[in-house]
Amino acid sequence: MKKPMKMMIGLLASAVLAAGCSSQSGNTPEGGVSRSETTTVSLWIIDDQLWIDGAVEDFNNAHDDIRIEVSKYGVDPLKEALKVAANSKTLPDMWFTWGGSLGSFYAENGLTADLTAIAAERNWSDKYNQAAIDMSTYGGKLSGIPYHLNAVDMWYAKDVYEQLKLTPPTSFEDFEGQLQTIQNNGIVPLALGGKNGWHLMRLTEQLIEYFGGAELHDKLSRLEASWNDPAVVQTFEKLKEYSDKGYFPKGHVAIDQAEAINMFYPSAAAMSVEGTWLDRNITAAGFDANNFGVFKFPTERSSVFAEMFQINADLDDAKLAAAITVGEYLTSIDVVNKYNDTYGTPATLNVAFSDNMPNVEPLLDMATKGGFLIMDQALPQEVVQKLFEAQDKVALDEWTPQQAAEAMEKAVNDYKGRS
Amino acid sequence: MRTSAYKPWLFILPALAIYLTVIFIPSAYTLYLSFFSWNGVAPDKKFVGLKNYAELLWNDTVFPKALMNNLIWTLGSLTLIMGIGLMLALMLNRKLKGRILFRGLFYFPYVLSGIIVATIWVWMYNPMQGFFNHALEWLGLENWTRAWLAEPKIALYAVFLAAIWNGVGQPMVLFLAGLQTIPQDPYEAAIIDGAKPSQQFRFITLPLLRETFIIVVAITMVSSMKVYDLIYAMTGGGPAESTHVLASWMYFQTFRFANIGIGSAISMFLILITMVVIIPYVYYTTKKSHV
Amino acid sequence: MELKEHPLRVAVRYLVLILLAVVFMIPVVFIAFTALKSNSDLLRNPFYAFPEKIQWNNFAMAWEQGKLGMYMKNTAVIAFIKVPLGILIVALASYAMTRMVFRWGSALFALFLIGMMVPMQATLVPLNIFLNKTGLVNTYPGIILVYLGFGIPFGILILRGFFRSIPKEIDEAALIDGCGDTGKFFRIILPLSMPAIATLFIFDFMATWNEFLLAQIFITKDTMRTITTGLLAFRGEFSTNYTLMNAGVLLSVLPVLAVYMAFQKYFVSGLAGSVKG
Repeated sequence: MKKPMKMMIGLLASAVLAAGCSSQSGNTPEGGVSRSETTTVSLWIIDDQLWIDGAVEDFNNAHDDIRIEVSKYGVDPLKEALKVAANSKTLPDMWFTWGGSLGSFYAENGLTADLTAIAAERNWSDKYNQAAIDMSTYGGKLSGIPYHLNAVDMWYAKDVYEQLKLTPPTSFEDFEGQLQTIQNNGIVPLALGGKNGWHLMRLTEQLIEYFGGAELHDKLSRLEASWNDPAVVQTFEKLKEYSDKGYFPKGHVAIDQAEAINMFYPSAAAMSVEGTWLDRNITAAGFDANNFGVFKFPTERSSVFAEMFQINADLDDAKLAAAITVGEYLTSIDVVNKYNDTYGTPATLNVAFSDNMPNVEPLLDMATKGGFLIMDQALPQEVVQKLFEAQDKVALDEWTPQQAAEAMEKAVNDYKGRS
Repeated sequence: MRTSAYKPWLFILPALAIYLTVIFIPSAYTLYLSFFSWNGVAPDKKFVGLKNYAELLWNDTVFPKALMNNLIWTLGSLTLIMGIGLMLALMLNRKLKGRILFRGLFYFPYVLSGIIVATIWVWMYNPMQGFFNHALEWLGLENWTRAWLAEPKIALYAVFLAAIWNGVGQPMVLFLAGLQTIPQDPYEAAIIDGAKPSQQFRFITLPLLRETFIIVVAITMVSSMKVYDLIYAMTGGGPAESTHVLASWMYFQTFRFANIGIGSAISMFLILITMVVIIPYVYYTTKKSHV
Repeated sequence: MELKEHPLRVAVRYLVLILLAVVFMIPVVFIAFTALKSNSDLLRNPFYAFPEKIQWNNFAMAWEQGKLGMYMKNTAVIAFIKVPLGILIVALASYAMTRMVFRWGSALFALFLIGMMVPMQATLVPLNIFLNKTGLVNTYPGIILVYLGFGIPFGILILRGFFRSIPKEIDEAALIDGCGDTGKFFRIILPLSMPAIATLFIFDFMATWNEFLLAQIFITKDTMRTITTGLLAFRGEFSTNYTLMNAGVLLSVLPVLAVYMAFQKYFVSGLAGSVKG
């Protein structure tokens, strides 16, 4: 690069910088007409919600008084950006978040608007699945507008089952027997990955539910019971047993969900533990969702989690009203139905489900019989991390199931001691 | 050379001003935060003095392992990554047919971001369907197959292999640039005197590459201590937290657990450890202050 | 080196290079295969197998879905401003530290060096506050400023080192010719430093192009986002579209490679001969 050229660029750049310092930050109205009455509501959402662009455009075209401005992020980047924004007091007007201890951070620190009164006023209990509302509530206050309600339970490949002349198990013994049969036939029984912990955890939490019962499970999640409990030890024993017997993919502690599920789609594995979104993924991967079915793990309840839109606590009344309008619009029956191919599993009631998603309704039905909050959202993140470590170490023979249970109890106590 | 006293300051001002604003002051803030227990948003921070540091050293199960992993990584980088980079640079500095093509080939992996490198290598390491195990089986070496990323003892090294592939481009290019400053004359004279290639390397190349070495060593050391992307993407710090490094553990503490104080303390450890090695190293090896 | 070498030596060298090159290219070939497959092909067959049916339109789809055109343009704007500007700033500073009478030179060098060790994540919150308070968040000047800051330590390390290896005789000759500092800087030192500057350009450009964390957090407006965002679009909450992602990656590295190929011609042996006399 010739030096005169470089000097020019340098000078040009300095000019740009100088100009930029006095320009506004990013908000260039597209229409050109500045409407002084327009309230802009900023919304942060993850970028795989493909329906959002169409819905936002529809809304902006139909409304003169409110404009939605969307910023999209990858999954991990959104979590980071929200944390950074929370720490620097630059949160947007509304944002997408997961429930449990991921979303509770904002609610517990007073960063989200309390929507309890508004919800009562506007009859949200008729609009949204009660489970979703419950999971968006922290410390008695409704802290978000319910958006997605996901239910997680057992999935199986129908062609594998047909080939092996099996039907979905109805008891735990049945289930374990099938694991062995499938394995004997050279097919991976459970397509679960241990990397980053949460995929395998979906089995772990059902085992805790099975061995400990609903009440103990909930107490453990709320850190109200000791984790050094026989039910927990039995759970870890089963994890070790299944790993030793080869029921998981080989080297499963380092396999992530994507690698695991990539065995499931082409029926190289018989079962997995997945949720209401999987039909869409199966189709996107080029396979037929109707080849897959769901059954209830032999416990009463399903694992559920909600995703919501939280609203900034610092908005003035006008902005808050605008945000509520936006939130209700984004979760309205019309929008859900219009975009139901890409919307995800809505928390909104009375919506239509598309035909190539045959497993959504059965899963949601299972969940109506009872659900517990998925464990990696129910527990504090530090404790979750210890659970993931325990899952690995038990399979690797570094901890006995008893040691794993003790390590969990210690992590819980450490966490309580710190806060 | 008569230069007015303020002129150097004028030259250095843009860099200094930007650096202080963007790097130095935020780091000072991090140092400040490392003495507190705070979740990032609560209005009060609790002053805890050196407790975060003590906690990491004595109580934290992952921190010592992470530190050790960084040291292993640094050692490996200085020998293998830097070594292979140097070797490639030397070979590709000569007039060689296809030299440009080769340089491009070895550099190419370096431009790939951590995520894509991780994706491909994780697949290659997949125990049941991956390239490595299938290749080993095809060669009849079945007992050598492993769950490469699943065994705590070898997982870090498996990731490091990917890092070598990803990383040699950088030292190679730096050494290539450095080799350009070495004039021909000493070599010509040496050959007339009957010097063998290895002698030429030892007595001409190496000494004249000194500045470049300093740079490459410093950069390699620092990026080994800061390494994050590849490890996080390939193992998430697992299995069983065995492949965590300081930067990844810091990420977990700060962004997942909201332990801002501890995360800041880890950053400080990182900076301090690197500083203690690098500053004396560079300062000592560049004793001659200016021309 | 021009001098004749034993043919066996040369042959061995070629052999080693070719072998290494082949080994090196294996993962790249896998990336290419993945980019050319359909999703069901990827899942049904071993991932390292040749594609069943080559899907050239994966590239077009990745381009569109990932909005790569727009993102690449944005990243190019940022990079082509940041990199030359950064080199200029760093060169000025390095010049001051190596070729001017400057008592504080070494101390400031150490100060700059410390910055190389700071992990980006540690600076996120203070920088976010700063950018918001100065109205620079979501602007190109803002992110360029931040990138400049992070590039300074590395740049100074390289250029300072390189400047130090330029012999004193040059300065003395320049003085005799009546060259002041500015003249010396622009007309002598900079041109002599082309290999180092080329190196910096290559690395800095690539680092800016691939930068991910800061770009995600400090730019929120979609139309201003960089290429790293585009590639992220293929990773969803519950699934990742690997074929398109790989195709997108291959497209996105083309500019970086182009810059490399353009600048690597400065790594031609023999350039150094001009330094002596």
